[in-house]
Amino acid sequence: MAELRCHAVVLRVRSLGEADKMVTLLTREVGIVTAVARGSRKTKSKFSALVEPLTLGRFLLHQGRTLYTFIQGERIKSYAKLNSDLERLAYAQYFCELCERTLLEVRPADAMFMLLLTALEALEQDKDPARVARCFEISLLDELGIRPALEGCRSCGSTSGSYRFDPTEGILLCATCPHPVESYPVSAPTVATTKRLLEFGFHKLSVCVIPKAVGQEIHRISMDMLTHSLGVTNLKSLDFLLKTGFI
Amino acid sequence: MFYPESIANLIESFQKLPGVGPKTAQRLAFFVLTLPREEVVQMARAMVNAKDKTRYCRICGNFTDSEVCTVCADKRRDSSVICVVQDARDVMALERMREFKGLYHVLGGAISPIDGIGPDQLRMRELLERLKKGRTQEVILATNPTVEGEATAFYVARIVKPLGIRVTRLAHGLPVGGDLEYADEVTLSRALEGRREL
Repeated sequence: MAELRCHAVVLRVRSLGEADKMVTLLTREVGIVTAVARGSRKTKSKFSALVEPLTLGRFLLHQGRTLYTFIQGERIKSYAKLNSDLERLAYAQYFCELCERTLLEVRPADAMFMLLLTALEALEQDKDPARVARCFEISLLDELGIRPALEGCRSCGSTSGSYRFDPTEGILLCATCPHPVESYPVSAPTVATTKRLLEFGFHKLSVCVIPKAVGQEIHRISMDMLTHSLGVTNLKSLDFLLKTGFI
Repeated sequence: MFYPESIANLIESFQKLPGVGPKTAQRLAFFVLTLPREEVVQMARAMVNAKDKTRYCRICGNFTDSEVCTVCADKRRDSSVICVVQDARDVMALERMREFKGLYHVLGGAISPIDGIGPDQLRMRELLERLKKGRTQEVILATNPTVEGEATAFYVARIVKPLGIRVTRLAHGLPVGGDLEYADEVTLSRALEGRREL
């Protein structure tokens, strides 16, 4: 019997049949895994609290032909505190959806796993959830190997003046150099803040001030990079954040 | 498929039901063929009737076959207490208890950012209008004890409390007949938080 012992965060839960749940996990060992928790919608099920979204746990799964099935589990931490704040919950689920949509291969996902946990911890503690989100987005690009190149104009090498960002290549170009139609202007503070986020990640986030306009530009850069490089579009949690005015 | 068109259509129709795959659909279709004609007609009529006559209660959003559901129409019920639930099936579950004498409000789902479901897609505005008009003194939040249910409960509490109405939440704890040894940590800690003096 093939078994998988893993550390995982529950990303998404869907109802399945009468009393089961289909659970999407981000595992440290093999990346994204979908597993069935049989009977977990019943009040007496040992899995009902374990397979709630935003729960970190140790799980033992049985590997079937197409799906895994939960055998045992132990909760390490639940980020249930986020439930009381709709904005923080929406951001947490946005991070989960980003992980789910960008991790496509079956491979160890240690860095991504740690990034998500760090972001969830920060979301519980940081006063500004939008700042945590910008840091997560930029760090995610780095982890996925599509880090934007922000060391000056890629065409002429200039390191001063006004820039445009080309999301198809992930590079900066001078306003005076030839640029593709997809490119758009980015402000100097946006470039500086993004570089800082790439360098320090969550380490010095609490002292990093991100004005709203800069945050919006960083968000645009991240999403455009994900769309052009990995085809990520139509994120429901992002639509929710936009509709509710949290972004 | 090698089935006659009529059977193939029936199998295809059954496959539209939740949790029914091709094998089960075949089994159901062949079972229907063994039934007497009257029973099949009765079954088909029941489905069409339910679809045609069932609608949402104008007041609470529960299923009904008239304008107002039986709960809202019952004058003996306590209109000062409204129990907010996610789904019409939750009303049935609470009614089976036969202890709650207040009224209900069905939200029609729960807030779920990852599924793109926000407060605007639920019957929140109707709840607020109802509370502003009525003489409600208490709102009981009976959403599911899940992430989505909790988020919805917190959201409803935040918008209802400014109206000066008491907001309560169903208790979380150990299921009757359950064994303490097998209870998970979340349930146990919630049960401990909500302990009562005897």
